[in-house]
Amino acid sequence: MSFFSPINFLFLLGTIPIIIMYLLKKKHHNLEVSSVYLWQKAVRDIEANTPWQRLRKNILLILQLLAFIMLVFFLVKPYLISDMLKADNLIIVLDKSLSMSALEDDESRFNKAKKEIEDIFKNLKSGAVVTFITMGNSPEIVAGNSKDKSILIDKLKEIRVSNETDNLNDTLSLIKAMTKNEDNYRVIFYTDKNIDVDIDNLILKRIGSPKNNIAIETLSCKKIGDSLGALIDIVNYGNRDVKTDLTIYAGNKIFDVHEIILKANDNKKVYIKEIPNTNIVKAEIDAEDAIRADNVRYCVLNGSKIKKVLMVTTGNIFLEKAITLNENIELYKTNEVLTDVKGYDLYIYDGRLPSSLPTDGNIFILNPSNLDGVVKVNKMIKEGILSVSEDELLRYVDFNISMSKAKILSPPDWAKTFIYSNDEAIGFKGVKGNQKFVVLGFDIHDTDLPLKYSFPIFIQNVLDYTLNLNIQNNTSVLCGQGIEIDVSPKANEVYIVDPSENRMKIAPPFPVSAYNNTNEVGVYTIEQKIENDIYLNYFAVNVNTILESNINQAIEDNDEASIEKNIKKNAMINIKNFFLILALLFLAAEWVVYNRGY
Amino acid sequence: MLDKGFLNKLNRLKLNYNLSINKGYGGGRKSNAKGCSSEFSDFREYIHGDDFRKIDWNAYGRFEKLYIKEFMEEREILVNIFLDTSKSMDFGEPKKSYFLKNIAMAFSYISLNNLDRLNLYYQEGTDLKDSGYLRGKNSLSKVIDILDNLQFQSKTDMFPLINKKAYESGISIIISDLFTDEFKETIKYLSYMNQKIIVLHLLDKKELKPDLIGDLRLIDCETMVDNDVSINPQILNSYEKTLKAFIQNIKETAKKYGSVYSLISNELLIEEIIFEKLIKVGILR
Repeated sequence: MSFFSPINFLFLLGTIPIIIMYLLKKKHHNLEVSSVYLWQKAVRDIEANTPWQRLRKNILLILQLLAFIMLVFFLVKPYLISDMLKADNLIIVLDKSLSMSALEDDESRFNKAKKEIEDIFKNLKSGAVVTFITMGNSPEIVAGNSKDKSILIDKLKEIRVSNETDNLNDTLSLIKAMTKNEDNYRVIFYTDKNIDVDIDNLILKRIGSPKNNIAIETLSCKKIGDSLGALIDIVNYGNRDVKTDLTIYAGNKIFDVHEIILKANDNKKVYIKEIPNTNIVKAEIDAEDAIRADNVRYCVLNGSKIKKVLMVTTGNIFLEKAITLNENIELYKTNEVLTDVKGYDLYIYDGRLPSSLPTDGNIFILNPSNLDGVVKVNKMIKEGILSVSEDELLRYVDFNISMSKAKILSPPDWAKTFIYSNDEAIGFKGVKGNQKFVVLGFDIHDTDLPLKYSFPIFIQNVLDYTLNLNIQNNTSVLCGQGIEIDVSPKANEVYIVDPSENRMKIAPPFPVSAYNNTNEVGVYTIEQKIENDIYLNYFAVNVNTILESNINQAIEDNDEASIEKNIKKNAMINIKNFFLILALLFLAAEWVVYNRGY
Repeated sequence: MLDKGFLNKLNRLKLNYNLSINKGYGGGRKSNAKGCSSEFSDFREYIHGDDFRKIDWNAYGRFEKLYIKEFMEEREILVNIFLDTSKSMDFGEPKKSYFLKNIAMAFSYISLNNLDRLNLYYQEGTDLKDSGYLRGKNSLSKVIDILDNLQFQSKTDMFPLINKKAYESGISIIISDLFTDEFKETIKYLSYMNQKIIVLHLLDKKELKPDLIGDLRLIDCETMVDNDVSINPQILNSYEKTLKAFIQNIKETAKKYGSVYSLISNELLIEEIIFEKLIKVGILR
């Protein structure tokens, strides 16, 4: 016999006052009689005949105590594990998704399920084989065909509830596959969701009762000018009106607090403007509800993702193709040299230069003409020895190319030359003001560079340099899901720091595989070490509120008919009512005894 | 106490007891000794030395033999009445002591009326007192005096005290509720002392059929011993059995020593007890 609410055994302390009251009760009325001569003999006789006569004296106390103890047993909700659970081949599935962390009487659904499963393990039929599966984002076989109770129990104890979403389809198909050729098997499915499947021998153990919960369902941020705007959608999955505080953090600082009044089963959208420009926005509601993980949501902005590039050219298909390989780039082309342009992240001037350069983006110049303060063309050469210096722009680039002609350039003092012909500069890069410049003193049509495999790499390096492209593309992921980490080709080492400040090296080796350790809600930091610099990127991990936060949903499903169905399916035989009946019987017996004056 | 009409009725009664009395003073009681009463007893042949005044001359005329006509001798008898004055006798509704006094009075009257010698024994403190021999109706006032002044306060058992005295042969009447373990010894002793014993067992109706209820601490008025009893059908049943066995035991003991036993309950009236019950069982006639 096991108990759903063993804490209620504390009520057994109530027997002490009953006994004390019984002791305090004046036991016997004094009565003077002529003689106790006969009474003594009568009592002696009866005690000799029935040794438990002494007990009979206290029969009221005993009945009261029994009635009370039965009531306590009723309260601790005892249950028996039926023989149904004692199949030869047992498959136990435990839902470890977020909703299982909802608290039921100070204990999570998950822990309740674990206790029941532990009972099943303890009461295993000898020789029974158990497969134990947990269901999160994907089904995971924790123990396969195990007969060892202690191993099973140990493994069970290690399992923690996750913030993941359950993957019912994969789990069910796994079970179906496992049971395809089996006959004597039984599947016990512990979940708080509704399952409607046609698997034979499946016992659905619905854990938990409907609970009120509030969740932040959406937090989306957008850059508006110099500040951020955030749209927050808060949903009340409960049948009570709720008043709560919504706190918005910009970075680590509290930006705003809103008082939110949510009607039952309603949602509220809040739009917050003028959040200071930051990478991380966090929204949090202060609610003591069943699931806490969905009371907070993060949003990460790793700068604007799409970079706008304006290419001024009379036609350069090679360059165009190489640039458009990068999906983060929106390429605009023109063959007119416009002077008063702005709004682009990078301007590429292929053979043509305006009289004055734009001041808001970086500049990539090919085959330049003279331009004050930027580039001065000395002479055109047709022969020379090409050499390169080591530079980030030439990483992974084999610059062993042939050229028909090139322009010897005089680099300004802020520039660093990286391509030489006979020790004279034909390519340099540099930073002037807040603008980065890359200047190549040749037309790529005059070289075989576009035909080399190094060409797109070189162009990518130029774009990386000029556009800071080593940013994380995917900045939001749901708990438990894998995320592709966008690593710069130049990164030497890549680390991920989770919200609990645990630092984990994910590269080398390259290429970086998807990062899966995303159970914890919060902002994860990607640290890329590129030479001596550290570049930080962020991504946010949030819970799947749509599937996991609505734990009140069960109300509709949990109507009378399905409760009855569940009881039929239920393999735990609840015997609390038996104790209630016993308690009533003892009370009735006490009443009879009391009235008959035993 | 008893009124005159009642006493008049008692005049007709005698102790019905076949005692082989051949000792004692002449009295109102037939003895098996031959004497000079007016009641004929037997004939026998004259032997030398007989009082020739007693020769039946009519028989001599018929049989030419000398016969002596014998007559009954009427002798007095000694009646001892033991009165249990223990405190338990002071219980009952009406009190057992009331019955004891009345019955003792009746027996005293009958005894004195029949020219018997009477001795009343009663307990005072730890002593067994006696009234001394009383004879003749004029001793009745003394009897009344003694009975009136009886104190039912005694907390010790009277029966062991009885065994400490010697008695002339006679009739012993014990009036008691007999809540004692010494009864058998006493009967034995009195029997040994040549007593014809009459046991009048006086019990209250509530002792015969208790009407108690609930959890009780019964306190013995004599010994102050208490006994916790939770009254339930079973214990009442057990009491009934114990009572039956108790009475049966007394009856058997009495029978064994040739005593006459009568159980007297205070449910009956005194008249009923004396004129019906005691006559019925053959104690009085």
